[in-house]
Amino acid sequence: MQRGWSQGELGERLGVSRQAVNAIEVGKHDPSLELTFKLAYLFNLPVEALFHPDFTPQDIRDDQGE
Amino acid sequence: MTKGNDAAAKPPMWKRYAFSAGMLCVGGVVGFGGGRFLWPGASGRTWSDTLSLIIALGLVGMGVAVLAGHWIDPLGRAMARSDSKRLDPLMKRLLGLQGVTLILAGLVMGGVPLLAQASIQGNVAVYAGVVAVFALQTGVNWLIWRHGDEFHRRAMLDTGALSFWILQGALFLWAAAERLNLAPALSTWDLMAVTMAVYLMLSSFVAWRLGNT
Repeated sequence: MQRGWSQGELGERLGVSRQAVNAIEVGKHDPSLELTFKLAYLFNLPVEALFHPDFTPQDIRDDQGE
Repeated sequence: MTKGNDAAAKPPMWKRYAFSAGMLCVGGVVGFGGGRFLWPGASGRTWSDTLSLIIALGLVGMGVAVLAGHWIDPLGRAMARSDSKRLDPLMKRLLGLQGVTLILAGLVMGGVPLLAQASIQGNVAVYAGVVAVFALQTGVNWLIWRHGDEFHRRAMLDTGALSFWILQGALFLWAAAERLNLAPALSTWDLMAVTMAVYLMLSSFVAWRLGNT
C-alpha cells in the first residue's frame, strides 16, 4: 500500500486535509463511506484490505447464534 | 498508507521550535499591547466584560496570525504542519475563512462591552451594527462548514456537542443554586462570556484529541 506519498499529497488526491489523512491513519477518525471508496479506488484495493476491524466475520456469525 | 508517519517527513526540530517561539512572541506582543489598551478603563468593569475583552483580544490576535498564514505560504504550512512543498488549496481556504471568523468574533465580543462602557446604550442603529457583524460571522462559519472536509466538520460537531452537554449541565447547576439562594444571579452577558470561554477551551481540546495539528 506504500506509494511514497506524503499525507498532504494523499489528502489532495482525496480532496481532504492532511489532518484528515493523519487522523484516519492513527485511528482517530473513521472515514465516511465516500472517502473509504475513494481510498480503495486510489490504492486499487478492496475496502476490507484497507481497514483492520477488531472482529472477524466469524465473530458476527457466532454472536447471531449461527 | 503514506510516508507521513516517518520521522523524515516531519519538519526539522529547529523549525518547529522557531515556529513556537515566533507564536510566543506574537502572543506576548498581543498580550502586552492588549493589556496597555484594556488597563485604563479597568476600574468599575464587570468580570464578564473583562473576560470578554480578554477573549476578544485573543480572538483578534489569533485571527490576524491565521490570516497571515493564509497569505504567507511558509507560515501557513507551519500552522497546518504541512508535509508538502506548498500549502494545499483546502487548508489555504480554511485558514483564510478561520482568520476572518476569528477577527469578526473578536470584534463582537470586544465591541459590546466597549460600547456599553462608552455609554452607547439604547441605540438601535449601534445594535443593528452588532447584529450585522454577527450575521457576517455566522455566514463565514457556514462557509467553513461547507468548504471544510469531513474531518473539520466532525471536529465542529464534536465541539458543539461537548459544549452543549457541559454548558447545559453547568447552567442547570448554577440556576438551581441561584433559585435556592445559594449563588448570586448572573446577567445574560455573564453567561455569554462564560459560554465563549468554555467553547474556545473545548475546541482546542477537541482539536488536540483528534490530532488536528
